[in-house]
Amino acid sequence: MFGLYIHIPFCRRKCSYCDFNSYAGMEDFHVSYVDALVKEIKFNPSYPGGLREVISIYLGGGTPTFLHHSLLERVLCACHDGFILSPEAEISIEANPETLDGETLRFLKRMGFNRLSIGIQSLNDRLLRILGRGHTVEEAVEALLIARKVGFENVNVDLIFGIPTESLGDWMRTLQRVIDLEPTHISTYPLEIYPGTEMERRILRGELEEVGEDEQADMYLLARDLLTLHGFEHYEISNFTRDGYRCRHNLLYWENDDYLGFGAGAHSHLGNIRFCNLSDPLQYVGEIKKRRSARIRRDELTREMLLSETMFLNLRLLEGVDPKRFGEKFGLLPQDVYGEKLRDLAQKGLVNFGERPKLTEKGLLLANYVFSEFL
Amino acid sequence: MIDPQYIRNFSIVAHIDHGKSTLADRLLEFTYTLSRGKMVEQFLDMMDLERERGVTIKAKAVRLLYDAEDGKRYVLNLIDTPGHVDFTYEVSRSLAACEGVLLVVDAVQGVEAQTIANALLATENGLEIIPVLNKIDLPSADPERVKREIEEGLGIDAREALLVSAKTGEGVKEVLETIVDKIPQPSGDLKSPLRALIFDSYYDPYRGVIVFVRMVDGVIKAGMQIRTMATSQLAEVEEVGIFRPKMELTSELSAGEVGYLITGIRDIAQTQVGDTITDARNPAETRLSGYREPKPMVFCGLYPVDGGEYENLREALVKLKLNDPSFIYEPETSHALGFGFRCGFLGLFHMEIVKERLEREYDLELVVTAPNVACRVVGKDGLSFFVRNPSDFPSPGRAQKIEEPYVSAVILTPPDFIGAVMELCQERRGEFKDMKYLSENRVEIHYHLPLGEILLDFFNQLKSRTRGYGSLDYEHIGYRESDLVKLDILIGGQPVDAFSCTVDRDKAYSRGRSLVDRLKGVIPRQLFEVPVQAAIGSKVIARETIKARRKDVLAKCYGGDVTRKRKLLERQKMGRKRMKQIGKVEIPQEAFLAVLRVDEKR
Repeated sequence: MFGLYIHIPFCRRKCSYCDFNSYAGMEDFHVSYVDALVKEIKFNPSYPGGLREVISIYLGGGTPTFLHHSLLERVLCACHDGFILSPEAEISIEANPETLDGETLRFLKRMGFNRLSIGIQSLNDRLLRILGRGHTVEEAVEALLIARKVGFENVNVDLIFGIPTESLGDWMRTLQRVIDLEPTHISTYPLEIYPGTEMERRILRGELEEVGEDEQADMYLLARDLLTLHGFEHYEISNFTRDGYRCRHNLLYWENDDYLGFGAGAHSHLGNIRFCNLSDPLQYVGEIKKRRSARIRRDELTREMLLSETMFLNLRLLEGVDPKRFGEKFGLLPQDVYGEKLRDLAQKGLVNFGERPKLTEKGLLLANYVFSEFL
Repeated sequence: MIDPQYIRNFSIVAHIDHGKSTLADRLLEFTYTLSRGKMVEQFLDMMDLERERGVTIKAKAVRLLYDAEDGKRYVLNLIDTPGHVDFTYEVSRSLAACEGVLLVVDAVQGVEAQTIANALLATENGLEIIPVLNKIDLPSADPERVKREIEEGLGIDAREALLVSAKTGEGVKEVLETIVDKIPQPSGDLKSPLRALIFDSYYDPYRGVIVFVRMVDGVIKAGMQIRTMATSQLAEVEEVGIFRPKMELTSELSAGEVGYLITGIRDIAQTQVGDTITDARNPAETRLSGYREPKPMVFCGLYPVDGGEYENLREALVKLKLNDPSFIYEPETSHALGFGFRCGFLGLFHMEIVKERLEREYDLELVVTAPNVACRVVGKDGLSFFVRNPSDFPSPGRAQKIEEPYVSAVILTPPDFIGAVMELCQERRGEFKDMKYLSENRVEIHYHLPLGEILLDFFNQLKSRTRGYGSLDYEHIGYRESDLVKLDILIGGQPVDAFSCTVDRDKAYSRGRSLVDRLKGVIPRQLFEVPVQAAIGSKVIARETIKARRKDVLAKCYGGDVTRKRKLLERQKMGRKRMKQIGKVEIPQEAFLAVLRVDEKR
């Protein structure tokens, strides 16, 4: 059981806060990139054979829906050719509202995508402009409604909170409107200011002011309260779902399971091996064209690393570390390995140390502190 | 053996940035000691740190061969001196090895505080002073004005001052001729028993201690048994030589010469700079004068961030002490910081350099406590003692009298900033002594100030209030009674001894307030609320609260990039490790430095 991650590093424009591996203005390059991607997926020499079923395919970016339909089709076909797909596989694609018209959505549906993740980010036009997004509130809402009409049942909405100038009231209004739109899944991430981004420059120049730690914490708790009140299950630090539509792909990450990544900068994890591809799309394509591997790093994980990573990834889930799965993997229980740590964190009020170690509400907000304790 | 008649020993002294190193380079070049192609810029500044800071720390000696107009070949020994107020002592050692100095003065800037201090030192040592006006190539150079400043400010005849541009090389030949003409040949007796002055030393990990000497009497060569006269160390000379500017072996060094020697000595403490070396089998009767005990005036605690590094810190201090005999250290323990050392320095700048060298050359992470002066306390019983650490300061009412060291400070500034300078000195409890015009645009202001007031940010303030034109020099003038109190800082309710300081009673409130504000700004939020308080005795005079940390969570595990996530978490953990854990509170190193700056809100 494992998943495939496919990276599409292209966007129509670069958002002001974005430091992802994505580029605007490379439209002429889409075809060669997909050529390479297809080659990598089909002929990847060292993937562990068609022995196991793929339970998830995730097209992320960038903006995968920015690619021409025919290119998306080729990518997905390559996956079908190269791997055995479970009939229940979750097939996700990320999209920005401005790329989602009725035709595209119908196409995606036809292609077999069964989960759509829309980067709505905020339902406030002022804040969307600050983020440098290429769509309005109206377009975002429209995209979601059409998706529903076309037959996408499982739709995720990505939201960002703590955008410069955003008040708690602004955030509450965004949340309420999103709740009214009834997505099955919501991801809410606090805005982080990354070095080298336009957003950082504007903050350094004093044009924008970062939202403070306390305000961001309040926003987080508001989202948690409001969404759970409206029937969402808070199942991961930043993720909520209705009707059991947990994101199966992301669960692979959080449960420290296996996944193979394709495309520029894509990461893979198989057992105790981790590797990733060249992140520059041009270099990536260059290597694949020369029939070489685009992989640049291969780490063999020690047992210690596996243990600590399992802890800090599992703890992102609100149900915490599953002692049974942990035991199967390591032959020990979490408290056998981290008893003292867990007791100390419990004393600080950050972790519930029952049979399943998990974060407390305070711990959710201070998760990094907790995680770093396991390193 | 060189006839002393053809030897000239000299130093170059100057205010910082007046072009001392550049002139030295030109002299080397002109005498073919170093060719331009081979020239590492400003060769004499050997250490990285010096180059970065643009100042010299260690004195070095280089031999130049000069064929003078009179047709004779002269040996000119250039002894380089440090250029900062904290190193007056090192300058004095180097000067003791010379017969004359080039007093370099920037022809644009004119006489500065260190120009005066250096000229005085040279005069005290009975040296021939050759005024050199540098940077005459600059359009704004005003040699006539600067000559007047030299004559009025220093009382030195500047009519024949040399006009030089070390940058272009103009006037360099005249400098060399004047050295030959004006500077007296070294005195000393070849036939007397060996006496050599140690004016500097250097620890080389491969060769051991390299000692720079000025030969006064007699001859020294490899194989001789020598003895240091003050510390009575016996050793055998392994090698003697000179720097040209690379090390060059010679068969011997004789009276009047300057060079280096290497002995079996590897232990730092055995070669006291300023000491006299003599022949163990035929010793001289008296030691040379010209050495004065370095007196550390500024103290601070140095603690390893990681307590396990204590032993490494100790070893590093031992090694540094060889290259820098003017600082002292002794073990101490702090309730907050654990085991460390109380160190004494010549000044604040000196302290900064030592700290940086420890961190850079010995890869140590250090916590430095706020610097303080040594106070003299007369107890109720009438007995007096020195307090070097504010934590040892007597509690209120337990002392009869408290005295603190004072300095006599000379500040030079353009007249526009007289007001600003006087205001600064008044704020720092200065006592105005005197003021005189050196020229229409240069004023010398004289104050007596508590040394403790100069420690904290005085020099930066002077620079900023005089737009960089002000310069400062000072000398110690002894102890005076003061109304000092100990200001304690409590973090999370616990006094942190490393933050304690002594302050003038009238300033305790404002200082306490500014310290508390600063600490609030640099101590990151913790998992719980942390009060920061300033107190005198048991009375709290200022308080701030650091709120509990509320949010610390990573965004998306993007595309399964666990490596990146792991790195971020590791960095965070390292960041915490680098902090000093005091009680339950993690305090970053910056907090200890933040205490060094005083807010002057005006």
